[in-house]
Amino acid sequence: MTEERDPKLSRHYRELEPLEPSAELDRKILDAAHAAAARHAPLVTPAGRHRWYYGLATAAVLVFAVAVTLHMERERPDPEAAAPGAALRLERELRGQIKPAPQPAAPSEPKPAAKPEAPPPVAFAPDPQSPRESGTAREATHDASSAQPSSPTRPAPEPARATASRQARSDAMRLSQKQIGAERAATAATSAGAPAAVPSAVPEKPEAWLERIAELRSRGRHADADRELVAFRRAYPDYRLSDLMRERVEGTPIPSR
Amino acid sequence: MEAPDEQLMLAYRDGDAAAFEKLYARHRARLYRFVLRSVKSRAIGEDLFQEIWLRVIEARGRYTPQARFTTWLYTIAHNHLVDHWRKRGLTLVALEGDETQGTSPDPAEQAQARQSLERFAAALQALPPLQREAFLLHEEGELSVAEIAVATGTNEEAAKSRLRYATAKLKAAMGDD
Repeated sequence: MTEERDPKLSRHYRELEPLEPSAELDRKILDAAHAAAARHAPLVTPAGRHRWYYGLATAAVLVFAVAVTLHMERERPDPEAAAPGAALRLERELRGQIKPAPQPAAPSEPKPAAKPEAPPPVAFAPDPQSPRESGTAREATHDASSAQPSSPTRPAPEPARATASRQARSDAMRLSQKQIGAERAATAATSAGAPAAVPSAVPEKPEAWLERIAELRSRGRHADADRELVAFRRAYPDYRLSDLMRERVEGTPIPSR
Repeated sequence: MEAPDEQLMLAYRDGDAAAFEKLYARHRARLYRFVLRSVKSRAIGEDLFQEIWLRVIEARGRYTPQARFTTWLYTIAHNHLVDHWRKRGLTLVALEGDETQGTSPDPAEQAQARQSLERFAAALQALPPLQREAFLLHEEGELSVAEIAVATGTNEEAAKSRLRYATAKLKAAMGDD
């Protein structure tokens, strides 16, 4: 197209007033360009000084993922730590054997609950009806029990036995996974013939609590078992123990009929 | 070696605002003159100039380097000028030999002009809009006939004809023919 260009005309044109946009006009346009670039993040890997954004974001995501994984790993109960013999025995006992029974008397005198720093162990047991939420519920109830040091219905254990109590709670949690069927059967039996026995406001199910007491008894920690049994009676005054369970939690053999 | 316009525009499309600054620095003055010499009011020309660049910014996501960036830029400028002329009730029917859209320079007045530049400027303003646009695209944008055709949405023959008429009238106004 150079053949169309007339050198004289081009020279005349170049000699016209050298117009240029003002600095203010330049600023307005460049500001608009920067604002538009900032509004819409680049869809491709940025070059130059923006490249470090991606490295930082990747590192942050990796750290977060590792932290979440470790957290979940710590919170997961160890299934091999549970006593398989006890679990099986418990399952056999609970399956269809929870019957309405007269309430036994408290085996020992109640002890004062004057140690608010120890959380009530019952609050840590998972809900057998929803085993998937056991970890979350445990954390939530743990927080709640920390905020409320003493339960209005049950005394808290002494701090000297806190470690043993935690171990018992852990055992009860593992065992509770296998109690689902038995508890449902017990609930059905209770609702059919017996008055309502389980207060809905109490976080721990009575079956789980009794299992914990039975575990304490089987380990020879009778004082703890007695204390827990007293607390259980306060929380569930109308709960009817089966003969087998009463033997386990009270430690006294059932007389043969 | 400086990056070509197309590469800069792609970089800006991908979020690199610094690329736009370079691109703007290269084309600001030429486009500014093109716009201001296409209209008769400096204020209107500045508004149009800013609006053209805003259109470039808005259209960055659709930019693909199918042609030279300059052609793309002046296509946007042409379309915006057409919109401007239409709003003002001006029709763009000036093709070859159309003398009705512009006022032919009065030879007597031109002869009385003291400076050739004033004469040239008057002749340029007197050109029909499409012929003036073709000339400005050629001079300011350094577009070829084919690129002028692309930028103005016409065929090469029409673009070539507009440019030829514009050149002839300007030469006649300057007494160069």
